Amino acid sequence: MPEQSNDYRVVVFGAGGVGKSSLVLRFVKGTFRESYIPTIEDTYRQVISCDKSICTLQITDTTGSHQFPAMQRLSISKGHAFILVYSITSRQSLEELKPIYEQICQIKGDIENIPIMLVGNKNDENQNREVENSEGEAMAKKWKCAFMETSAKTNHNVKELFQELLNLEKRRTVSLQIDGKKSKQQKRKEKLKGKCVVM
Amino acid sequence: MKPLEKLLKKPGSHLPVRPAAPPGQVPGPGSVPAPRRQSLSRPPASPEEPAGPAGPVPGGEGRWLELRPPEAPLRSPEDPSPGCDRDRDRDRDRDREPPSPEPPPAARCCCGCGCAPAAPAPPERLLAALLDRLPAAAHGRGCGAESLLDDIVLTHSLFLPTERFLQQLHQHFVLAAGSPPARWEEGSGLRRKRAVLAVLLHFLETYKGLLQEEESAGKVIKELYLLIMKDTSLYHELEDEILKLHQLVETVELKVADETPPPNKQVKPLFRHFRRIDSCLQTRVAFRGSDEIFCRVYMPDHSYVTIRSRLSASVQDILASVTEKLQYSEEQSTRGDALILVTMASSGEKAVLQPSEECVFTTLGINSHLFACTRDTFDSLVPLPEEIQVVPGDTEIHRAEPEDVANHLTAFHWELFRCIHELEFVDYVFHGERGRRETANLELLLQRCSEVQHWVGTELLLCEGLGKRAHLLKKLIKIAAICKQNQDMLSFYAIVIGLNNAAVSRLRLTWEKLPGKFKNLFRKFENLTDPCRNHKTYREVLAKMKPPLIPFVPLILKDLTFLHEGSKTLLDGLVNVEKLHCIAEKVRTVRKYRSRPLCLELEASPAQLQTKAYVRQLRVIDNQNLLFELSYKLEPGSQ
Repeated sequence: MPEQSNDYRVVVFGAGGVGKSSLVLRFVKGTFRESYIPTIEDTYRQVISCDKSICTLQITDTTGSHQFPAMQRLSISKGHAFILVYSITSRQSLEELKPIYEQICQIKGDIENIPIMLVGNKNDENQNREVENSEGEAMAKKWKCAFMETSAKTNHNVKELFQELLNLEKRRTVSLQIDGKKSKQQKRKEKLKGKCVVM
Repeated sequence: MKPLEKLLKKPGSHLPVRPAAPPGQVPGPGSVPAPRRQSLSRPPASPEEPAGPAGPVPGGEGRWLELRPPEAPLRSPEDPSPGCDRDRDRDRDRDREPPSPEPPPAARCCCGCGCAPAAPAPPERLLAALLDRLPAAAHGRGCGAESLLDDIVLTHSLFLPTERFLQQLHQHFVLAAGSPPARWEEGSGLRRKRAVLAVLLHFLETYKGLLQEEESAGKVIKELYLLIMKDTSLYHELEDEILKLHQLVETVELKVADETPPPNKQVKPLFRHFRRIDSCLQTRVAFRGSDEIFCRVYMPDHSYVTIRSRLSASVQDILASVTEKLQYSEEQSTRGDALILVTMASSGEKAVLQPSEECVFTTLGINSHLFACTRDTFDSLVPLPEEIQVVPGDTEIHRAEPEDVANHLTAFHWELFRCIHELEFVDYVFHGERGRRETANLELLLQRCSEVQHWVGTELLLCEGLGKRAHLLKKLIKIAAICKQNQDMLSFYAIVIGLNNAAVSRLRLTWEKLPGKFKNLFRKFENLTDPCRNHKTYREVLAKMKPPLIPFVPLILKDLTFLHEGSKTLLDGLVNVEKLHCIAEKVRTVRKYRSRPLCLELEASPAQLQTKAYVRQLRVIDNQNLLFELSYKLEPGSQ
């Protein structure tokens, strides 16, 4: 039976339609679809290594709508690391991250030691870009967190995003690699990855 | 087996299978005139059942459905059984009568006056028979017509799908509008129309909110409504009724296929997955099949997706949403790796749900979860880790006053009880035979009942100190006592059953520490809930209570099940009207219990709100093995 306390919990926040689920599903399953299904709350689990032993990475994909403030608070208080996603094609979506960031600060207090990654997704849609890379970087600096642009569609920086996030964790050593052992899903994902090198 | 299930599973364990031979046997102390009931073994033309004032009624014999050959005459339209004065007495009598534990005799004169409730008739003729009688009721009131109307509206689905029932009603109206049969006297067409109107009104009033769920039925009603409106001029005397009809048709917001759907309904979280203080404090409103709810579906690795779905969604629909969410590729599903939906209890017990099953959400056990997996992975499924960390809890129960806990229990259970539509009782017992209508609210109440039972055990068994545990035991008995005072027999029963759980009752040391006064009190409670003689003690106590009250609902279902299984609905194509009547009577007791609002004075102080939130989202261990484990850890040697 998986031990609850041993889990490392990552929570993904962001406005509706920025691609939170796409990023998560690209990472977890290696798949991508154009269709949009609003998320309520999904959690995926993956085995990773943590302090040289095995633990479960729990990625919680949250809703983009603000319908459930109580659920949001609960996710924050339970989360160990956070991914804040906006779409580079929508300045509004970056704006909408502010209250979430503030709430994380409020609930977590000292955020120095908490891994947070600001993510500009959809960077394959350069022609519709509203938020420059530099603006994202500036915001990250202000928030004292890391920054990355990604594309779930082209699988750009997706795995790197999660790896980087775990590297930010200083209180324990967490890594996606489990020595010598790869799950079927991971293998499959890598196979897929080989097929679409857009970088 | 859980005590509740045990009770439900053995509907007849304490009952005679057939009405006992002694005629006129009546439960309860002589509150009813003797000839009220008769046994099957007696000849139909019993002297105890004098013919009604109208003289020998052909239907009088016809009621003996199971004895009569099928040529039992249908009550002819020329023979409207006139009113019977004793009817009202009968009603009064019946109110005093304890809920009937007896199976329905195949026939009985419900009022003992021989006024002939109604003859068994082929399904399609029964409505006509009802319509024939109704005009009499419109003037004189009285005779069984009103009661027959209610019987048929409540139970028609046993022999006729609602849609067909309405279509027939519609046909009768059309027929009355055309040339009436020659034997009809002047004005009989009008009379028939009025009767149709009366049936429709009663139907609408009874169904109300449920109709939004039945599109096809709604369509028929709309048509009939328009038809009635066409010749409103005929109903000068019935202006009030017409007005009522307008209002009813409006309030039920009949959904007709070609109309735009009503504005988006708010999603109602089913409380099991979303323990949220903000929503749990709100007054509960009834769930309907079209309501959208959230539900978590787990994967073998305990990942989960939350899907938004209609409460009535079929397993197939749920799986489609899950597949879509997981971006499960088509290649996978055609390879025979298609997903199946499984329910799994905290104990690890699992069952595969059939694709066609509907509204499964409310039928799950307390800590059961839905899993989606492939056939290959089914065997490897393991339950989610216990939600409750098995550490000595210091929950609200230790802080709160017993009065407050009891009152919040009663208040919440009253809300849940009120959410149940009368027809859910009928549908719950008969579903599977007829098109399934949702009985979600009833199921939620039953789920809650078993939740309270496990809550009692969970709290006690998570309490490590012996002294503290004995104190909590005393408190729980006190809570049961107050619930009983509140006439909340549901909470009362659930707590007593919970305390009787073998994992709890074996805690000898704890029980020994209980003050004598409370030991005696609990012994009394055990007597009251004793199922012997078909729950005689409880039924007697219940009969003395005045509404509002919350009955122990599982027993009502047991009675209904017995009524159902004890006699046939149709024999040789004739409807057993007596059975319908008995079932409707049972439903009417529920109506009576709820006829007055239950008001408890509850403060809204923060402490009270905390207790309220606690009571409304109990966290329980429903895994009996785990409860035993805890019990043995607490008192190893005890027996």
